[in-house]
Amino acid sequence: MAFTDLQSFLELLEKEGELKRVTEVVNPELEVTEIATRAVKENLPALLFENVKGSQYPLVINSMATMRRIELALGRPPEALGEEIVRFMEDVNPPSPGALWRNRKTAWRLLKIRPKLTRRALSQQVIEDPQLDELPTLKCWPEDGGRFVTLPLVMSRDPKTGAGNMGMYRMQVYDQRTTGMHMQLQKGGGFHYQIAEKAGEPLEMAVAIGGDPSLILAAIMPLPEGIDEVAFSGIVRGSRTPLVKAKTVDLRVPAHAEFIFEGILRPGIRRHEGPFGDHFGHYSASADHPVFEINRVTRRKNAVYPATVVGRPPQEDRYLGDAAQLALTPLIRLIRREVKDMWAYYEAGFHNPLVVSVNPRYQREPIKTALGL
Amino acid sequence: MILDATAGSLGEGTPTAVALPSKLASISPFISKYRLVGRTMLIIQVSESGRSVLQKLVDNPLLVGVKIVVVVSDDVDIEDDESLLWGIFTRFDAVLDVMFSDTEFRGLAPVYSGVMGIDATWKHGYQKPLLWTLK
Repeated sequence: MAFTDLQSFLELLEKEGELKRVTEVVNPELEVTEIATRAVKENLPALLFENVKGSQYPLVINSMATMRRIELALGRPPEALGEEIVRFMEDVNPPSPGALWRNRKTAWRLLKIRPKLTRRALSQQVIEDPQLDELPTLKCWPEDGGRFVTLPLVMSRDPKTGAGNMGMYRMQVYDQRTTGMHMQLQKGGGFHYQIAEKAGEPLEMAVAIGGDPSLILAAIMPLPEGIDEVAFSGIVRGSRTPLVKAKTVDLRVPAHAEFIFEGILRPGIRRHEGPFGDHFGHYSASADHPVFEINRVTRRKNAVYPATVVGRPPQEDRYLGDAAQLALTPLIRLIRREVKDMWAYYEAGFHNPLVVSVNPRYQREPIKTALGL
Repeated sequence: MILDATAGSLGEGTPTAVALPSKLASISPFISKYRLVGRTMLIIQVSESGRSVLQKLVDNPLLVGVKIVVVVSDDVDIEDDESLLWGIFTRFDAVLDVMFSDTEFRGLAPVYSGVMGIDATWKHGYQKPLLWTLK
């Protein structure tokens, strides 16, 4: 199942009984958080709210909040994706035609990783000025600093090398056309911004909302620095990622996303951002972060706005994080052969602890492995 | 912080019987509940003063066979593994909140041994927990 847009994935979910439409009016401030939290805990289907207070757009949550829905998104279990990549790497080292042929299904998938440029783009059916108040952005927790965009695909390019990055950085809504951009400055999009800022230049950015599930999964996977997440999503999907040229910035954006925000980060500008109820189950403190100014919005004609809620585990990110590590742990085993298995825990927000089982070849090797990881 | 829990790193393999002081509650009035995990990690739930309760437990010579003591706050359900994992691992700083019963210096380097204590209670200045309406 190679989804290139969100709505065909939602259609499949509905067909499989994994998505329910809700016609009652819901409030995107706090109420949706409570519903989403209970729905994850009780393993309810994804929810498509058709009447969100203050917005004309439908809101969908929990579209990947069970392992079954993630398997429907990928077309196979995440472990299978991980094993495919590992088998390919192991077999072609040293390379041989026989090895390549035996793994032709995976080789085919890997050749499919080059994104393709397309002209007809669902994400550009409508072109308009930014009016963020019209979107059903969520205020998730009582002491949050405001409403946030919680499932964005933030795309930028290195001003020096042109290399692309796609990350998921929360965006606090400040007004109709301005948001925060909660990036770490030493990597990904934050690193691009640092380079532009040092040169006194603004950084162009495009944010896609409602890309297909493979894009979302690729954006949240902890891939090594330098790997193009957009290209990698082609491996996840098993087909090339369709992109289109953005209208007002020199970037390529997902061709069939629900919304695209095109804009810039100006150098030297910071604004107080947060607090924000985070995936450790505690508020992350407010701090100064760069500001995203939106120049143009493009979108589908009947766009749907997807969001996710993070908070005290379990939330949807339990399944996203588990899927990501199931898919990537086999790669780590390949690089560090003494590692038998490793696991990060959703209960603790995935960052601490990391548990690794090893077959040590000599006495101090466990410590050496841990330091290397 | 790296914990090497591979078998044979200390030459010990067999789990030993654990003896706890007969009345944990008499050590401090702030102790509400306890749970022994894996016969070697003692979870203590406190209403306040987590650090001083922890210090008393770590230094208690009657705590035989317990390798790790963790104190947690009273918004944690210590019988539920999901809540317990959250209540421990999102709340301690490995530099500030970990202590040991024995410290010796080999030259300049400190070497820790004995019982390890973790203060995983919520502390002022740490990130505030989110309101939770279930349970």
